[in-house]
Amino acid sequence: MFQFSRVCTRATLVLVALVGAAAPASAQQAAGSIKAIAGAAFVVRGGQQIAASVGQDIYRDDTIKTTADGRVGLTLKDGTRLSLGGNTEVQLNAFAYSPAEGRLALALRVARGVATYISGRIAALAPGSVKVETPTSVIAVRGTHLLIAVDRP
Amino acid sequence: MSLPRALTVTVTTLVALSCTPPPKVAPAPLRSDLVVLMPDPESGAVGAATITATSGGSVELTRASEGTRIVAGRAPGAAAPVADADVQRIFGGAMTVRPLAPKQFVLYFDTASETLTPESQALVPQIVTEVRGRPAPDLTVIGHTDTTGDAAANVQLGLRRATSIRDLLVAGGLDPSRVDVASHGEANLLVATPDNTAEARNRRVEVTVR
Repeated sequence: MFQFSRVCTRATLVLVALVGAAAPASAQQAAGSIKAIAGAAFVVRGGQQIAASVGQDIYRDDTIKTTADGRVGLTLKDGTRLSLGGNTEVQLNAFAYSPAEGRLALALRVARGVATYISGRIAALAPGSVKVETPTSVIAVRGTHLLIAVDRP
Repeated sequence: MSLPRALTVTVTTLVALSCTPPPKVAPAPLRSDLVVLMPDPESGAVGAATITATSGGSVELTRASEGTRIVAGRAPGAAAPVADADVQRIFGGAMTVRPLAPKQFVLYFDTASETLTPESQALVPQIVTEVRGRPAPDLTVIGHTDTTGDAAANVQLGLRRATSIRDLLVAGGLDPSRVDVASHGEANLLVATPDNTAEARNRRVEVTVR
């Protein structure tokens, strides 16, 4: 019985994971959208890589990637602006913007490449709630305009 | 080749090889990240950031064009000016796709109604122009009320105000799927007042164009 329930729990977890990955992103509110692209850029969502396009919505847990000559600019719902240079990969690990309910969070990881960040309302309303990670560090942003390069001599 | 001769050759080769200095290997470049604080591109204001290395130690950036390098396994380097030429070389490409700053408009209404004041009516075409001038715009339209009447009714009034503005902008060509409409009712006053107080500046819709 114990074994059985454990297997069942595992099966349920796997099922939840699968359903979660396949669920349409529209079930979640968009965190922002792409405003500009040069060259080639991609969005990785639920393990699938899709070509990025201007106007495309971006969601929490998305990874945005560019090729060597790719660049992409996006604006989040709170007005945060990001722009990515070539060979860049940025993950949107956390995003919450519900000022009326006091839910404010933004966490990015610049895994490689070059990014610029200009803070929006989240940083203005809750200065401690914006976190930008690189492979070597964590940046607590109190505003407003930061440039981040990963592994650049 | 006789066996002894073959051995001699082999031994000589081995000795020669072992005496050759090992080929020079370029030292693996240490991983190093760079963080630079810049003035806000619109306001010129300079913010601040604290960079904490994963391996410990932290540095604060507080001045324009000040940067720090973080080498893996070490504390962040001291804050130091980064030359404009370096900023341009490293970040110039990313800067070319920086989105426009969001723009906010505030529209005001007559008491207990969705009728815009004449001044705000005149502002609507400006919002339409702003929307049309942007690539892939998306908007937030939030309705607010003053504290006259009860809170639940004011949430509805705020929503009617926001919806009426959304409809005006859609009539001006905006894609309705790119607008988030919400109401804060009387919960988010621009000017603090007691309950049941008429206040023109609180009867408003805030439109943010991104």
